[in-house]
Amino acid sequence: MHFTPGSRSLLAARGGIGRSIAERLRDAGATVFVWDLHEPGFDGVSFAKVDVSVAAQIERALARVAEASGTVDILVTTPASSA
Amino acid sequence: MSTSVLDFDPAEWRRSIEVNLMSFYEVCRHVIPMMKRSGYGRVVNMTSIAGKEGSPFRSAYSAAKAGVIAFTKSLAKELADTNIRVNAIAPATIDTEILLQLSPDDVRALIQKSPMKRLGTVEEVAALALWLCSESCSFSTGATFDVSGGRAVY
Repeated sequence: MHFTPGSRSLLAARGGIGRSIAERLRDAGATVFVWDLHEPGFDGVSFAKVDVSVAAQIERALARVAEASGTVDILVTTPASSA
Repeated sequence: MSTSVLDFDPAEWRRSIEVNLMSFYEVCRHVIPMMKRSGYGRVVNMTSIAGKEGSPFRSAYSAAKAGVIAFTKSLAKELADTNIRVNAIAPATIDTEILLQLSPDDVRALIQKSPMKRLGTVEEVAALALWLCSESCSFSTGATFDVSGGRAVY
């Protein structure tokens, strides 16, 4: 498995699976942005409160990611809901 | 949450499609232009075995997750001549806090559906996701990968 050093990842995430992926990407050296309705309970990632089904919220949050990081290399979408 | 098709509140059904299908479309259509500009990207969409099997009393969720599987194929083909790969993961029942919403009997019934007779772990799903996020994933796109302990049959 190979990652370009300094990969920039964005996780539209919720729940335990999203958290585990975010932590592993962080530990692999990626810059990790997490979008969720709830604060993640772990360190080393940038968090923004975003409802990922709402375009206007995505646009605002993505502008901040672009400012901080330039681009996104990895996108993981895990909006877990059991309903 | 388990509700029959006939008993479902139509507004809740629609909301489930918003969260479990529209969100993928919205996030992808905003983020992929960045990847196209840089010439590289790896996209992983979390779907569910419900999208393959059609789980009873979870019609909106199942329909949305089937939609994610097809959306992943469409998007992957549109981007196949770039260095952007788009894949999905379809877990069966994973040991997460969502299971706390179910009765112990329901959880036992889900475990019995698994040929391995156990729940999956978040670590097992994350290990696959990490590979799909890596440059090693170069010739796979539009695919849905099972993490189901042998339950998925296609």
